[in-house]
Amino acid sequence: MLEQVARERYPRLVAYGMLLTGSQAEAEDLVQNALVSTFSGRARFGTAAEAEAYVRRAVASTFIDHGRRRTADRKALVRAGGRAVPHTVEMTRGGLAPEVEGALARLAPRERACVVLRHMEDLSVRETAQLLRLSEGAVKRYVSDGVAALNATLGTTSPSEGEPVEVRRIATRRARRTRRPREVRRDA
Amino acid sequence: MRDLTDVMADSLDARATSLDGLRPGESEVAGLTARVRRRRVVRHTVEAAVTLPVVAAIAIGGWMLMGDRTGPPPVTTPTPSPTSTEPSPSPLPEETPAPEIVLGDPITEPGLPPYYPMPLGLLDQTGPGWGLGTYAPRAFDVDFSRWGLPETEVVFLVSPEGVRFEAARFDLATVDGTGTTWTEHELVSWQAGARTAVVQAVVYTVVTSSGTEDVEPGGLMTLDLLTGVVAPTVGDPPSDLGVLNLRGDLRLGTGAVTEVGTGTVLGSLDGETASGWCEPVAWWTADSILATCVDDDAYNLDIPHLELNPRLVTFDMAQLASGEGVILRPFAEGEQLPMLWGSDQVSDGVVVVQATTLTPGVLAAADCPSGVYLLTGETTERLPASDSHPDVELNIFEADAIGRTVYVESTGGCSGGARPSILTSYDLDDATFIELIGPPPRDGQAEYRWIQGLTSYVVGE
Repeated sequence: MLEQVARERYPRLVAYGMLLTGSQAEAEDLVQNALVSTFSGRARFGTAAEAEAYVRRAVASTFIDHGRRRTADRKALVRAGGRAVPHTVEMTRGGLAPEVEGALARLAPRERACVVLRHMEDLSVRETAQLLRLSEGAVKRYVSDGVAALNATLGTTSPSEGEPVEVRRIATRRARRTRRPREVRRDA
Repeated sequence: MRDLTDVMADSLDARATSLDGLRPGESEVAGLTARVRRRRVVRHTVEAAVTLPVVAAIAIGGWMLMGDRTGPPPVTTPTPSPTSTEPSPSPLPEETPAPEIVLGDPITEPGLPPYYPMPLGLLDQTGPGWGLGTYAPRAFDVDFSRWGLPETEVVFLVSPEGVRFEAARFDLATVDGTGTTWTEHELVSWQAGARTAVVQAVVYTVVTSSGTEDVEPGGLMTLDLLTGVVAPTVGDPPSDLGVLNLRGDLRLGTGAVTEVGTGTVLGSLDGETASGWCEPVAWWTADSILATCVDDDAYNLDIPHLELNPRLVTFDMAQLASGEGVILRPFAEGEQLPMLWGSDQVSDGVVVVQATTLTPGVLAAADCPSGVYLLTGETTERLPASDSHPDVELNIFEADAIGRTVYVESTGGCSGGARPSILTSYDLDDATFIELIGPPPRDGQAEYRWIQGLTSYVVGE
């Protein structure tokens, strides 16, 4: 299953990671760490689509965890008299994806992760808070601020938090569409 | 005006399209699978720390009993069927003039294997071969997108013939301020005939959104098998990693042998040795271990396992220190190569192992066990626990040998699909195979959705 997901779902997972990192190289690292984390854990999957949904969430939580470590590293570097290296974002000119990735890159990492999980994964505030180990209040604030900034940049609209949000249930829809009889595979 | 969610989704689609054709390289995939396998082994080893010393203690007890036939007399129960999976209800006659216990129809309940209420007085009559198992059924949710939560945990008393009796029951999942959390009870030890068992509380907190679960082992507790009441007890949870030899003075951990008591490391198989790259399998004798060795680092290379010349090698303690073992035999295509964990020693030169079938072109990182086998220096015999259950694809096997009886907990998951465990016993002398605790029954489900049933077991000491 790991090999199947790594081979068949890789472009989409990396694209998802790029919403968070803005960088293909960083996104690939993120996805690979998320794959290891997901398939080392207790959860098991009947289809690649199920696994992909888990990996996407692991990508978001891994992104935040790495952010926590980067912050700690920067603080340590500053204490040691060094100079922190700013997080870089690759920008490709033209097209919708660079436009959205660029807009997301202007958000704080936690805002970015919260917006992506709420709007791309259809997670509730509580689920987002649990996944990212944040308070529910912080998630609401990050989403509110992030969505406002994105709407201003992209010229989009979005229902405010607390109102019913009609989101695209991408993972669930795909899982239903692609489910097939389980098969015996010699994978990890 | 565009909707933000739609714009983000379209952006993701566009980026994915632009990356179409992007694939991790073969070496990257092999690296990923190797990392996963190692983390699983570590996780398994850490989890096994709770049970392995107990199993070892049981094994010692069984070995001692073989030499001391004045121990508790065996309980005579209905004649076992060689391939029995669902024993039919029948009286449980005793050798002693105890009143005959007549069982009615078994109780059937969603998620649980058929069982009986525990008759009064039965516990007192249990002897060697009786065991306890905890059972907490879990299933995928309706669209198979995530695990459901366990709602109940039942402690079964299990006869040597696989007749189950409910001894205790706990309601599980609760939601508190921090999320969904529950406490399960993992069996640590039980003396056959005793009213109480030692369990370890394990607190689970699930992050529903990610499917990950925080697992926090707690303290030891005494479980009253008649009342179902648990109470804290004195003692430290078992924490030592590894398996004791039958003499009980040496411990085989992940690659290293240490002296019990002093902790002195006598040798290890970490990394490259004079015999190649080796992994321990089990104790071979009280003073030597069985290992598999290959020519190079199988988990970091794109070379199929078979091409690295896998072989069985034994190391006594002096050889372990030098890394120069004795080759027992090489493996060829189609033969069964023992895997790193899940094995146990039966007697000198006889071990029960889970093994993978060597197949051309398959990397070590992609190996999954194909069955459980009785292995000697010359022979490999497939055991019945390897056979598939109709609802469960089995590809992980953990064996415990207690005397001449091999207990195997079989489950799926090596190839990605979660499956419940099945506990079986196999008598090496009379070839009697019995399913002691099976998976949750299908219950009319069109697609089998149970992913957990049995969660821990002990065989009475």
